[in-house]
Order: sequence, then structure tokens, then C-alpha cells
Amino acid sequence: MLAAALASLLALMAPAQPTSADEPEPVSGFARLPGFGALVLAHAEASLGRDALPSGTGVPLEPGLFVTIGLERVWAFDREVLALRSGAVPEGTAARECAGLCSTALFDAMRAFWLSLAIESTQRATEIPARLAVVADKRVPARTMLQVVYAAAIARPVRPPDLALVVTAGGRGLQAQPFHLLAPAGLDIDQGAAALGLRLRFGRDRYELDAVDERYVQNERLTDLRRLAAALAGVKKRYPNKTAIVLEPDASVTVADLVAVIAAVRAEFPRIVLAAGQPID
Amino acid sequence: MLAREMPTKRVRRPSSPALAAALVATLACVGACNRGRVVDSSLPRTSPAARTADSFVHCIETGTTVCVAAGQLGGGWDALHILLWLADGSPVAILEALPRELAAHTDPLRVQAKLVAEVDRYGAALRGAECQSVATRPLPGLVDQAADLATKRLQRLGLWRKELETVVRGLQQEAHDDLDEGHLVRIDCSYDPYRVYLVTRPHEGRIHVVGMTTVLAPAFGGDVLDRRSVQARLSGPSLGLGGTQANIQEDTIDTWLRFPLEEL
Repeated sequence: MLAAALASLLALMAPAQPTSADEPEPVSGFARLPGFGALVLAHAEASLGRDALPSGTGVPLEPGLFVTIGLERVWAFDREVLALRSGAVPEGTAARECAGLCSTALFDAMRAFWLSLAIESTQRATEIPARLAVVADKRVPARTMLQVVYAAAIARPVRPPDLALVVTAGGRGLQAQPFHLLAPAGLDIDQGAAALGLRLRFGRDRYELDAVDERYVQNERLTDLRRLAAALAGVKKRYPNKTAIVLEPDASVTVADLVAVIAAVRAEFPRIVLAAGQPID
Repeated sequence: MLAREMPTKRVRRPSSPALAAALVATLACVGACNRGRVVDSSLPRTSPAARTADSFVHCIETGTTVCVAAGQLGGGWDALHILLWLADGSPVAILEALPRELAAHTDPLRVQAKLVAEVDRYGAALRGAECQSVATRPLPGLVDQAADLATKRLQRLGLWRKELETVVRGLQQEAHDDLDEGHLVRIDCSYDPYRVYLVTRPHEGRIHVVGMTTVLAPAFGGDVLDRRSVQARLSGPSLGLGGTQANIQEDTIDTWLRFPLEEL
């Protein structure tokens, strides 16, 4: 009987932490199960291959739903949810729920996946993941990544998840670069609000810096990351309490390019907001 | 696939007075004209497992408080349900909850409480959902498939450990011991929850419902709901998400930019 085997396991192993009288004691031998980072790495290597993730540094990776984006497929955990065509989401009807930022097929697949997680949460007394880790091949277009992330975030019931892009940090394993998304419909900033609305629209070797109110930041066109970093340092000097910047990659930008830009801007503006061309006024 | 395994056949009742009259006339003729012929049973032409499952749903629909039979018959289903979870569930949830789930599995009262909780969760929704059994499937094949896929998946995800092999084999054996004469009955509903899968097994001359779930992965014969049904399930009362609103802090911009506007 399994029950007997488990009972003996329980008898041999002390519980990892005290539990309430209503909760069964866990089988603590499973504390040896790998952590979230090892799980993500195993799936990334199996699905994308070795050295496919962008290099960078970030903060420790925290458990949540991980969505993996390769050149040919998208997975939610290890379940395939969509086939891609050379890194692009196949053309199709835009989902109304995404305000045109993702396809119906992608949104529906993610919505159905969140439903399965919601049902599981009732059966296993767990929480629906509040975080979404994006595990993307560095060659994938950033625009594709944005479509997938918008679909996954909009489809989550109750509220969008906290977001992070997974990077590989050499000997330190996988780390997370947190980011936000601009609301699908864009952002309407009231006149008189204390917002600068700094925005960087960029392609490969082309960086265009502006702000919602051009009285504060002149439109600047730059051609390399060093000059961009210097320009941002100047903005920060004038507006030291500003911490956020909106990044808007064009169709030429890959995930690796995006990570490089994030690394260049976050020293001055650590709150990274990604956008796909929505209006900010 | 489950839907193709054993479709349930039903005898439809007459729906119009004319048809009813014709039936009465036919029945009146039976005695005189068809002496010696075997008359069909008035029971629906469904399997005993499907009839038990339909009765269970009717019990819930009538609001009877105790539809789950007393006794400790659910261990096999709980074992199979854990295997199905390992084969298709969230790996993060597995990391978090597997030790707790296995510990609960050793307690028959907790196993039975899970079924009671599942019935309670969907009781109100099922009352108006117009549900009916559509297919039944013997369970032994499903048990082996679940154990096989769970093993391969845990290995692929790097979660496989020696003690997990003991656990998977033990769950598989327990599921076989309890459910080899049992069935999985698919119930289709017109409304939330749209799909219900009931597990039946014979015990002491009677068939009992010993398990229930509203989701079965496509790998095991389940189907993917259409977008309208998915939305209805997410906003319905059973999952408790429908009326939940995001908690937005006062000084943040919106649900997407959860930091103060002054920082932008």
C-alpha cells in the first residue's frame, strides 16, 4: 500500500516547519526537490537549447508562471500553447481584450491556461501565480515577446501579474529583470500631473528619447548606447525623483537588444515600462 | 479519446401529444399483436456507471445535502488524481503542494473531505447547468497512462527523485487496486462548469461515485473549452474569481503600473 510507504516516510522525516492542527504534515523528504530556478533552467535548455537566453544581471528569480518563447513555439510552463513562424506570431484576428496588441488565438490559449491554473488552485489549495517570468530566446523579436506577454498578462483573472524577464547571469545562474507593461489602451496623464513621461523609442543603433511634455525633455536622437546613457544621466540630474522610463522597441529589436538597452538605462531609471506603441498623452 | 470510447445512448421521451397518442396505440397493440416479443426495459440504455453518475448529479441538483456516500472508497481516485496532476499540473504548484498532498492522501477522512468540498464548490452551479452523461471509459488504461506521463514529465523537468519513483508506483498500484472495475463518466453541461468527470467504482454490490473533477487534460481525453465557456467559468461563482477586483493602491497609476505617478 502506498499509504503504508508514505506513513513510514513521514515517520522517518521530521516536518520542515510546524503546521496547524488542520493541516496535514508534509512529507519533508521532498524538500530535496529542486528550486524554481532549476526548474526554469531545465525547461529552457530542453525547449530552447543551451545558451539561448539573453545574458544580463538582475534580481533573484521568484516562483510563478513561466512562459517560454522560442523561434517556433510558445509554452506556458511546459505545455505548448502556440506555434510561431520564425519567431513571429501567425497573423490572425486581433483579440478585442488586448486592444489589438495580441491575436485571438494567443489570448484564448493563455486564457484557457489561466483557467486550468484557477481550477488547480481550488483542488490543491494553492494560489494562482501572481508572477510571470518570461523565458525568451535572445533571437526572438522583442515585439513577439510583447505580444505574448500582453496576452498572458491581460488573460490573467483579477489583475495582471508581476512581470520579469529571465536572464542568464553566468555563474550566478538565472536572474530576473523586473518590468511593467503600459496599459493596453495607453496612458492618459492629466495636465498638471507631476509626471515627466520619459519614453525611449528605439531600433538597432537608433534611439529616440522624448517625454510626454516636450517642455521638459527635448526630443533627442542618438546612435549608440553610450550616448544614450549619457543623455539619460543628464535627464536624471534635472529630475532626480523620476525612476521610470517607457521603452518602445521597433520591429528590428531582438530580446538580446532589449536586454542590452535595459542594462544601459536602468542605472538612472530602474523602473522599466515596456510598450508596443500605445499612446501616452 | 474519452468522447469516442463509449457514447451513452438514450431513449428520448415523446415530446408531443400526437406522438404520445401514437405510442399509447402502439403499446395497446403490443399485448395482442406481439405476443412473445421481449419488451425493452424502461431504464435508459446507459451503462450502470453512467446511470450512477447521472443519479449523483440529480442528487446534487435536488439540493440534497449528502450525495457523497459515507465510507473510505476514494483512495484510488485520489491516487489517480495525484498522478494526473503530476502529469499535467503546474510544476510550481507541484513543488509547493506535493508533500502536503501526499500527506493528506494517507488520511481517508481528508480524501473524502476533498470530494465533499468539490461537490459543494460546484453544487450551486450544477443545479441549473443542464448536465447529462455522454461517455464512459474504463479506468485501468487511464491509470497506466497517467503514471507513464507523470514519470516522463517529472524526468524532463528535472524533478525526478528516487523517492518519487516509489510514490508514482505506489499511487499507480493503489489506483489499480481500487479502480480496475471503475469508470470515468464524462458529463456535459450547457452552462458552467460545462464538463464534469465523475469516477465510479463498484463496492459491495453497488456502484458508487468516488471522485469528481471539472477538468481533464487533452492528453487524457479531455477537450479545450471554447472562449465563451472559458470566460463563463472564470467569471462564474464556482471558482470565486468573478466578483474579485484588483486591489489598486491609491497612489499608483493603474493596475499595470503599480508605482506612484510622480516616479514616471
